[in-house]
Amino acid sequence: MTLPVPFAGDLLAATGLTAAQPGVLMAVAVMTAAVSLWLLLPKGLESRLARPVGLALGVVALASFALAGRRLGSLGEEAVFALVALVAVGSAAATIVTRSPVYAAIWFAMTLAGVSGVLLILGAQFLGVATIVVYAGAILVMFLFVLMLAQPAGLASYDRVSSEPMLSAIAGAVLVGLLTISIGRLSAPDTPLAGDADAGAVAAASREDAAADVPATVAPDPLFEDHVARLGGELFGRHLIAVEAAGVLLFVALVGAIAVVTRGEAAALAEGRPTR
Amino acid sequence: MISILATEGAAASMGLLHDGLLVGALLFALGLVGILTRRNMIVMFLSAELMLQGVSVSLVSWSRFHGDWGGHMLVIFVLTVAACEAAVALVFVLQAFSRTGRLDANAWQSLREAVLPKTID
Repeated sequence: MTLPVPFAGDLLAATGLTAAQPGVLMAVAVMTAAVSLWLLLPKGLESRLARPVGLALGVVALASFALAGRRLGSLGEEAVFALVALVAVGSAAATIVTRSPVYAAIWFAMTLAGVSGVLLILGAQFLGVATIVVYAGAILVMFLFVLMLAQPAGLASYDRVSSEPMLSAIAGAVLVGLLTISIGRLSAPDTPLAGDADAGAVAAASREDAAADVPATVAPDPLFEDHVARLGGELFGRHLIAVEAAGVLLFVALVGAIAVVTRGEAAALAEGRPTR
Repeated sequence: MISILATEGAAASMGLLHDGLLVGALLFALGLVGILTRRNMIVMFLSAELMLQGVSVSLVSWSRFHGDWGGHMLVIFVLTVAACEAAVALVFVLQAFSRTGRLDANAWQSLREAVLPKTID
C-alpha cells in the first residue's frame, strides 16, 4: 500500500505551501514582540512616542501569536484558552517592563492567575490551585514584604534605567524563534521529509492503521478521574523518596535563611551599622 | 468515520500541546529578558519565577499529551524549590540592601572580573 510518487510529491508541495504561512506569521509575531519589548523597557531617556508605539506593537505581537495557535476543537474552548493565555503572557510582559517593583509584583500576580487558568485547561486542577495558593499566597506576599522593608521612596535610578535592553530583547527573540521552530516541527509530523516520499507514505499508512485502532468516542483523559487522589497516590507512592528530599530541602532553606539573617545582624552590630 | 473522529481528537490534543508549549516558551523568554536587563534585584527574582512558570506550563502540556503524571510531579517539586529559593534569595537581597542601601545589582560591580569595564549610569 504505497502511494504513487507523483501524488506524494504534489501533497508535499501543497503542505509545504500551507506550512509556510504559520511560519511567516510566527516570525512577524516574534519580531514585533522584540521591538515592542525594546521600546517598552525602561531606558532612562525615552521619547514621548516610545510607549504608545511599543504598546501598539505589543498588541500586534500578541494577536499574531494568538492567530498562530492551533485549533483546539470548539470555538468556546479556543476563546477561553486564548483569554487566559493572553492574560498570562501580557501581564508577564508588563511585569518586566513596568518601572515600579511593586507594580511588577502585582502584574506577576496577574500572570499567576493566567498561568493557573492555562493549567486548569490542561487538566492540572491541583497544580492550578496550588500555583495560586503557593505563589500568590506565599511567595508573592514575601516579595511584597521585602519591598516594603527595602524600597526607597519614589522611583530609584536603577528602576528607570535597565542594562542593554536591545541586546536582551534580541536574545529573547532568538530564543522564542528557536523554540517556536522546534514546536512547529514537533506538532507537524504529517509533512513527510523531502527525498523519502516512500517512507512518508508508509508512515501515513501506519498512522492510518493506528488511527483505526482508536475507539470512535475519544476516551476521556486518564488524568481527569479521581484527579487529586491519583496524584497523591503517585506522589507518595512512586516519588516518596523525592518527597522526603523536598522536605529536607525546605527545612534546610528555613534554617539557612534564619542563620543568614541573624549572622548578618550580628556583623552589622559589630561594624556599627544600623540594624532593623 | 471512525478514523476521522479519532484523528480530530488527536489533532485537538496536538493543538493543545502546541499552544501550551507556545505559552510556556513565551513566558520563559519574557523571564529571560527580564533577568538579563532589569537591575532591581527583586524584579530579577520575579523574572526568574516567570521562567519557572513557563517551564511548569510546558511540563504540564507534555503530561497532558502523554497522559501520565511525570510532568505534574516535576511541577510540584518546582513549586517546592521555588519556595526555598525565594526564602533564601530574599534574605540575601535584604542583606545586600542593608549593606549598600540600594536594590541595584550594579551596586555589586566590585565582584566582577577586573578586566570588565564598569557600568556607569
